[in-house]
Amino acid sequence: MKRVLERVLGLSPDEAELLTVRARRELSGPAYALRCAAFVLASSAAGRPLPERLRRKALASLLRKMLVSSSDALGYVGVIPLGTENRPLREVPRPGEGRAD
Amino acid sequence: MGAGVCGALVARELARAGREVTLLERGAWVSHPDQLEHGAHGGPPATAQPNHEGHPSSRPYPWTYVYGVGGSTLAWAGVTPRFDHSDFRIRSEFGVGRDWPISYEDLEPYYAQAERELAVAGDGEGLVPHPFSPTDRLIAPYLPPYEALSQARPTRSVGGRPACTGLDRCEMCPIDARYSGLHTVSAALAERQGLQLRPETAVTRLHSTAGRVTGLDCVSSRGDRSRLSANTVVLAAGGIENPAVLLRSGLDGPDVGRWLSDHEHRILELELDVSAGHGHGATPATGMSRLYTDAATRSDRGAVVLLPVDPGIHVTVELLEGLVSGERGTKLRERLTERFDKTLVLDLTGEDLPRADRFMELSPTKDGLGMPLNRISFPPDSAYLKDAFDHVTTDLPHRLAPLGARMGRSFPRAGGAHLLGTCFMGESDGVVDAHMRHHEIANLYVAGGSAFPTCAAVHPTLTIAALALRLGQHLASAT
Repeated sequence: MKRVLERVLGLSPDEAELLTVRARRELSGPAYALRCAAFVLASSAAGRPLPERLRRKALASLLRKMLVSSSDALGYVGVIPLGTENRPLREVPRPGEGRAD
Repeated sequence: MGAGVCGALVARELARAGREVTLLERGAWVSHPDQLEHGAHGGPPATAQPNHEGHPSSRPYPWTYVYGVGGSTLAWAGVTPRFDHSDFRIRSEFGVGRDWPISYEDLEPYYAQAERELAVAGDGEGLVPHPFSPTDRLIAPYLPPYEALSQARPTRSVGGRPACTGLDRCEMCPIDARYSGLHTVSAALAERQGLQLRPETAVTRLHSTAGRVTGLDCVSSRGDRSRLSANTVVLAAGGIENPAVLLRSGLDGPDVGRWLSDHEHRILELELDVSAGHGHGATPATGMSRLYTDAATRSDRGAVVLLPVDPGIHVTVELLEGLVSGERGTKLRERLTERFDKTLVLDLTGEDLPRADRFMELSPTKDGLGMPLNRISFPPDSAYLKDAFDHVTTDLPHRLAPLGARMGRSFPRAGGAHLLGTCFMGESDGVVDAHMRHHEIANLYVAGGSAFPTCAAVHPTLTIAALALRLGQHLASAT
């Protein structure tokens, strides 16, 4: 899957790794596998005959789990390094863990 | 009735004054961790899902509100500007719309309190504003008055909420920094001062005799029915549910459910000769221009505020479209990188006038609790708003000419989150008086955005909160 993402989205290997990790975190195992399969088909030559509506849905179903927020997408266009903008939740303070008032 | 920001603040003020308060909320208590896991719309479907339908003659419209303890502030961006002075007097100053029966000066002390309650960055006291982003600094000189965006995303830890870390997921803040009504309810319950919360309890109707509410019929998410009584009843369930319970109770004056307002947006993209400086703000939006809010032309077209926003959502949309059309790989990525580096994206929010053909009424179709669905009519923009957006679209490239600005795409973005005006306040007209007391039912108050006579151009939550504090303290001081 990582190689597909490198080729289709123009990502480096490290970036592809980051996005697959993120999508796995957002999705259950079977859902992730299903969306990967749909993405691969929709982005391949074999998928070209499929209706545009289906290809858009298949591509979006994985893309939106990899580029979740606005700043994720900014990472894709190089405004900020991809992957640094969206740290796992465990790395940011939880309610009550911040400094006192 | 209603445990969003309005109901929570009114209830908290009354409980602190030693009153016995029962806070009824149709939706469930969904803790912040559970919201992250399952979304804000938690709890049993009967009491969690919005229960409206479109009017057959109207267009589909994405109404967005949340049933739950915290209400729609469980899923919002946290933008909290004050209204302008003139927003309370557009009939007097511009000859359109309606004046409010209160002035900015009446509300000013409560604005300050509300900013503290919500921990608004830039509250003028303890919390500094988020600094201007590079984008703000680039365009601010050309779009005065340009101000730090008031937002309920604190710049330091307050009341157990951490400081905003700019994660850009404000509508479901991952770290619970952005304010929600759940914060107020939680704090009020912890104070143990006569506040009782009943989640998953919907008010089906009010009973009134001789100009006073004598009882409230309720139904729980499990279908259990009960009747409550109270000395004073405050409806604080938003611009759809407030009129709905009045209509279900036969309190159907000519303005109940009428004059529904919302803020519709327009997104403008301007191509610049220089980098727009995206992605380096402390939060997704840190500045706002009021250049188009107070011109004499407001007699003819609405006020508009504009916020520069990151183009990330549009990047994803264009990436998807590129993939669908067969673009691939580094070529696609480089094209998007070039395009968005110099694209300034502005979110315009505009003022429209109250319209009789925008309303909610009761549907013959029933919801899961056996109550009528709320049927909403919301025809498209009036000329007043459209002309305002068109004027800004034409004028901006001239204002930003030193940056080489050329107008790119312009497209509408539906609102749906600001449910205003359906029980508006007036001295003699409307549904409630200047203290949001019902004109005919002496112990009934209809609070929140439904009481707005007009909607101004800016986001309404801070004004809702200020009005709630004013009402809570008014009721608490009454004998």
